[in-house]
Amino acid sequence: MIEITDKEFREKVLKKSLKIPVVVDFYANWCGPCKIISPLLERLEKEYKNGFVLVRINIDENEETTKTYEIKSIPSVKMIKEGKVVAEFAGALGEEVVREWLDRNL
Amino acid sequence: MVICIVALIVFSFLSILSARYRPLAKDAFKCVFLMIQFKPCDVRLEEKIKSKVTSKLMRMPKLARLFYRHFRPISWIFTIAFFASLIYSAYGIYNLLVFGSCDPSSATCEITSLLYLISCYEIETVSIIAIISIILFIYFYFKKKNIKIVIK
Repeated sequence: MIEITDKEFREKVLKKSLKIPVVVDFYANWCGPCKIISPLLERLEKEYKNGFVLVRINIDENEETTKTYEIKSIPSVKMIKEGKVVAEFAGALGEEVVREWLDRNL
Repeated sequence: MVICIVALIVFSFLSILSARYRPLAKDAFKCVFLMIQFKPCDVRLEEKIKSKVTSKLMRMPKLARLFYRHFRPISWIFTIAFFASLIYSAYGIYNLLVFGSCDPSSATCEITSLLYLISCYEIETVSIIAIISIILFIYFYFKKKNIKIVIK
């Protein structure tokens, strides 16, 4: 899991997504459900090994990316492949649902 | 016997608001105190509650009769429901404090619109303000009415 900022987004997400799918977790420190989904995604990243790269972005500190991706609620998770959002979900979903979401979109 | 635990909590709360319930709260306390010492409850609390509630239900005689006859199973139902709701509430409060939502498993935090004010972390602030407001309201209400709570 990598913590990124607005400035790093192009390099660490968009460029990287040309090689491997990148899952972006939009979160905030004050958001309770984010504290549920983040550890789950971290665990799944380890489990899927080189299946995808997980990055986290704090919406309070990185407003530019938040606006670009029209984040209206968090936790918001987006999968980026070749620079484009191919799948997304919002909310602290259960492990099975997230696993199924990954399997379907990776 | 089980009803006295519920009675202690319920009547303790009610006795803050009205002196009418203080004798029952006192009896419930005695009863629980004896119960934890494995001694029989000699304050006849069940009888007192039974007759008090039955007299209130006398407007509907059938319901009063049903309550009087089946007081024990009804008291068990209330006790179980009370503890179930207590556990459920405790779980909700725990989630609220830890995750910022009573049901974090399906929750999202809105970051646009007015919902932002009452979502996630903010709800804790709203809850604290609401609790403080209630306490202040009760304090000023009692002060205005010049009611003093005396614990003997």
